[in-house]
Amino acid sequence: MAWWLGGELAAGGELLRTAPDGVVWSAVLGALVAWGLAVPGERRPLMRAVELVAWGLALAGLVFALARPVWVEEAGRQVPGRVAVLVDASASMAIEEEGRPRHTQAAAWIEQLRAEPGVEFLQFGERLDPGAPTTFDRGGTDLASVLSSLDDRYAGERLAGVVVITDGIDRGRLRAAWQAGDDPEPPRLPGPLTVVGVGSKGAVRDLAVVGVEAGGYAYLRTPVSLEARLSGSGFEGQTVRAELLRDGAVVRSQDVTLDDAGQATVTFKVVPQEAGRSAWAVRVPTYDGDAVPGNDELPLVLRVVRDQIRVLQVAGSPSWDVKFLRRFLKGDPSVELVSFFILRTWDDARASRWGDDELSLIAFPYRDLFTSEIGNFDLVVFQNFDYREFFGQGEAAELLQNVRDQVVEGGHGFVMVGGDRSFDLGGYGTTPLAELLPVQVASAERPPVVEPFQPTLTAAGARHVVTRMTADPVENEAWWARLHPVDGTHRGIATRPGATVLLEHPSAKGDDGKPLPVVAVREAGKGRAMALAADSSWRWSLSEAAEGRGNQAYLRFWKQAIRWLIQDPTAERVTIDPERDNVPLGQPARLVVRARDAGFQLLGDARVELTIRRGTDEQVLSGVTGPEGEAVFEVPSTHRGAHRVHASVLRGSDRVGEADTVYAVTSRDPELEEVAPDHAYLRWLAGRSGGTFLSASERGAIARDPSADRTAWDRKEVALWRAPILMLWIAGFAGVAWIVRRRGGLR
Amino acid sequence: MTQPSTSRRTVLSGLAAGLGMAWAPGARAFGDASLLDIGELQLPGGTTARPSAWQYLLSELERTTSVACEPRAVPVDPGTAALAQHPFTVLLVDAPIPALDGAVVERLAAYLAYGGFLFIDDTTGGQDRDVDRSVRALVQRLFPTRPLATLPGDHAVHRAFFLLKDGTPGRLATAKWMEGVTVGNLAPLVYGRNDLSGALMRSVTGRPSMPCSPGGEDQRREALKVGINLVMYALTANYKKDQAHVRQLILDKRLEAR
Repeated sequence: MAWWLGGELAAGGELLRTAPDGVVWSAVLGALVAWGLAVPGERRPLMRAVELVAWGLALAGLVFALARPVWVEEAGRQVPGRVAVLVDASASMAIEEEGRPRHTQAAAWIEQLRAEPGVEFLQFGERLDPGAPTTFDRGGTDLASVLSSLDDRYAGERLAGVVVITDGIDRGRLRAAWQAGDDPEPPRLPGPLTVVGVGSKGAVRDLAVVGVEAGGYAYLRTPVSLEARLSGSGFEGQTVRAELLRDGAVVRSQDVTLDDAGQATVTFKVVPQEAGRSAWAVRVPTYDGDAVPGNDELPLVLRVVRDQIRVLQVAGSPSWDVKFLRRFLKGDPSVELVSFFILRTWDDARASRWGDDELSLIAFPYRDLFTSEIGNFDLVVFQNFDYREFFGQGEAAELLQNVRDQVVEGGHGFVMVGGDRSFDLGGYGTTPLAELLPVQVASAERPPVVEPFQPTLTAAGARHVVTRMTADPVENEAWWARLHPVDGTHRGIATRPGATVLLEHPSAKGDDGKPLPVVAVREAGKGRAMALAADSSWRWSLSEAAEGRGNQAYLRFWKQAIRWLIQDPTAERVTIDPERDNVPLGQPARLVVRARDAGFQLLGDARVELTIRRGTDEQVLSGVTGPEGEAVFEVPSTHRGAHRVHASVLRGSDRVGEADTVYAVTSRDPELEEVAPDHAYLRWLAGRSGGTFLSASERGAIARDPSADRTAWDRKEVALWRAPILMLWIAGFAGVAWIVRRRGGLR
Repeated sequence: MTQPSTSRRTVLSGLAAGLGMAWAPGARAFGDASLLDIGELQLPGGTTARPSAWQYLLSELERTTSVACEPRAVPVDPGTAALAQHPFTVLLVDAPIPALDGAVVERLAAYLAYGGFLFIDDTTGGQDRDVDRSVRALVQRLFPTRPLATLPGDHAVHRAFFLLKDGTPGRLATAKWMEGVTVGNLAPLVYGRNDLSGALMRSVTGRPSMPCSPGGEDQRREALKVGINLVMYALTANYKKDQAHVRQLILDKRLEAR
């Protein structure tokens, strides 16, 4: 019988219809129509009655079948509550202790717990996943996040227990707060907690650099402390040597003794000499048996910025030109200005009828300025200054050489502004500064040009950032053409090969037959130099303002000149920015090169050549900037260490500019910055959650909540619509109806 | 500058003498246009002019300091662009200033805002209250939000070259200190009520034109120091307030530490 019904039907079950209402009503309607169609036709009344009854029973069976009836029986039974076993699968669990990975201690506990009823294994790092772990390589641990996700995972079900098997190296917010001395509240758990702490602190021998701090960035030529935190498990009380590396080479080393907790801090003081980014690292030795050699070195990319541009303005005499330049420099909050104006010459002093105590004059500290202090200035301005009035015989060469060295070797800036004490008239033709200047200076004095003239913008000047007042070249040329004339210029100078003349005299020629340079610039070694062979640029301020044109010409000229002279990266037309300072080995380094035109508009369709150097290895890539002026490079990181990047950008055959940066590739796994297990934290976590702490070597019982036992419902369904007896019913009555109908003479 | 050690004087003076031979004083700078002179503002209706006072001042300035001067006073119409050719200007007031045209005031205000300097000299020596009122009214129009205020004894104008510790007298000594309008940390306009030009003015024979009272020739000597400081202040602004100078002056006991 069970076969005919499609399965055993027990008492206490329930008949359920599983077809949608629409199907059922359609079937009923269809059956009524079909039955109605069978009514017409002449036949004997008995035959008619039998036929219609048979059709009715067949159609009723069909409607019943189409309603997809199911016989459902349910029975409940008591089962124990579930136990969630969370196993730490992070990389720290693979650290070897006495020759065996730490996770082998977890494996013993996993085997023990398999015998517990209702156990479900889960694995975690920063998130929770099903199943016991087979590998231990996850890159982080966040217990608070993992425990919080349990409620969602079990949809509010009460668990008989929650077991966490971990070494306690939690890099999430919960432990951070606990380490900070707070008493944070752990996430609410769906069952009593048992924490199984694996690992043994004494069994790990590891020395690590766990952090290097430099405050985010440093100021140029200002001492900065690189503070490295060392952590040594098994090195408590020992003295180790910490090394500071710059571009992979050791530049400092220092012995440091770790305290009883295995902690130490070592501070390296450095004075950055270049603005921009530089790659540093702090390293400790790799000892035998070091658990994680990868954490012995920690790289740091230091961003060096200028706090203020330090400018030394030395003027041979107060003048309007001196006053306006000082006024401009003093008004710029990014400039720290030290001025020395020569208010009285020795001739004046000898002829003076005034007592020294009546004067507000101080000695010109030229020797200190040009020896010990010169390195503190990003930019030195000699404004109509004749060194011969002050520098003694024999010391002039030394002091001027210091200025030259600071520019050529130190990368600083230098400007000489004209006047009756400058260039040839200051006797600079035979000094070390002659090598620096962007003009050739005659060794003998030449009478200056004393007629006012309108300087002419050269082709190079039309493009150069110093003399590019506006992005539009036509407007820029018009700007310079309408400026107030300058009062005169030097005749004892000439264009220097390799220098760039930006403004020149419209007619007067030098000894070389070329127009006299008025503004010229030059990259001298690591630094930059500018010559302004006039003493009346101040007229671009006051006289322009008197004409109702404001003083923008003066301000822009000097501001752009200073930014160019000090090699301010923001004044460069090409910049390059790595997306990350420290790139994990194996992940691509993403570098963004931005190009701008002379008017500092973003420049598309420019060809970028990127050279990446690591030691002697060199890799060259090329690309083109898009309409937004950017070219993005993704460089595979295949080797550790500092990578220096040089970008060179061309638009057509014109050089747009160049830029440099640095990034570090590290194989360091953040998860392994700490290796010693933290059972104190786990004890706190267990206690704070009202749970139990067990060490992996113990074999205690886990905490269970008997009230979490639950009823499991067994459900049995018999699909009656597939029962053979129903098919037989439909076919049987339909057959009878058809036969009776045929006997009645109908079709 | 500059008082290096005595042992260096001989060497340096020799060098300086050599330089002096190379260049005659009048040949300094690139043409006359670059040399310092003084513009005397001429207002509509006529303004007192004392060019001899300024010629004398500039001559003494050149003799005393390293500043290259053209010892002359040039009449300047403040309503023209010629104003900008003379970053140091003076306005002598011996009668109430007439109401100036708005465009003139605007040009004068722009001149002072962009680096020009104006010294207003009350030639009545503070004796005419109408003169004083008219000066204050003009200053009010030039600097609507910045009132005239007495420049304190440690102001840079009192240290620009000479140390002026006892006041800023002119022909008279009505007010101990001058007044000024401060913009940022600079005073582009200074107002003196002691008739400074009266103390500096010279006759055709080169002698002082007017007696100084009450201090006589000593007061005139002080007035010259005030004049030189004014020009040096216009040229160097607050240079003498730089830390390097203040520190050294205190070390030399020429200033008291505060």
